[in-house]
Amino acid sequence: MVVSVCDIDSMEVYNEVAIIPAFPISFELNSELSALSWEAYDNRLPLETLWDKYEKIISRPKMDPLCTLFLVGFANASFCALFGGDWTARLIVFSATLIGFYIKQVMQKKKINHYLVFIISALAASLVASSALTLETTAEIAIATSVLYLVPGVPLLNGVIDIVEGHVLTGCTRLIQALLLVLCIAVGLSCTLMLIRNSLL
Amino acid sequence: MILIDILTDGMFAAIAAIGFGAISDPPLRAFPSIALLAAIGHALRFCLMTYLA
Repeated sequence: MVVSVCDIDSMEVYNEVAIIPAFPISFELNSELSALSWEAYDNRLPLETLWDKYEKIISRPKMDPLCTLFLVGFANASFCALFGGDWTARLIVFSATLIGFYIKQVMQKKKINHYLVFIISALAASLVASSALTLETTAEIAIATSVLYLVPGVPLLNGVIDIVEGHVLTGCTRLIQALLLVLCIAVGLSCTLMLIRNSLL
Repeated sequence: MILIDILTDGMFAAIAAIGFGAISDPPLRAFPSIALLAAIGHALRFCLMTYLA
């Protein structure tokens, strides 16, 4: 990222080149920091107040990971319901998502490679979901919906929006990154399918 | 029965939207609108697919 600042009175220009580190998506920080930037522009706030407000926003507590875990579990179970799974399948998808998403959270905290995280959590979730095959239930729907929590929706949407708005290069990079993540999900899922099809388990 | 079908579809869509929204850490005040938008959107899709196909 390149930041250029120009002093109107003295016509002095300052340039700064900074590397943008990868952070997890946070819409709360997005909206709050955007509001802060507009406040700074409209009210001409002094730098100290800006820093204070910035620190206050950054240090705000995030949503509890356990709460997110259960919300995602319920969300994936409802996806199973939307795709026509019965109650047994929903329960299995719920537990599969809990296990898969927990593995993802732990591995992301340890800063393991993104692609590896996606492959392993897709594998774990679909393996748990494949236990539905032993019961009389809608097993295909359970296996198919158990990995839906991994789909990178935000990068895909952002990529399309970037391309439509004319930022083709950025959009393409985002889409390719999202595509790689989707491929990783496919690799994890196909490992499970191969294990099941060859009756290794 | 039609109304119950539509409402359950909307409810499941709302739960799914809240859960997947929670991954991206939205502000707390956004959750009601997330649920409402998802419920309306998916219920509309359900109606169009089932009764107008």
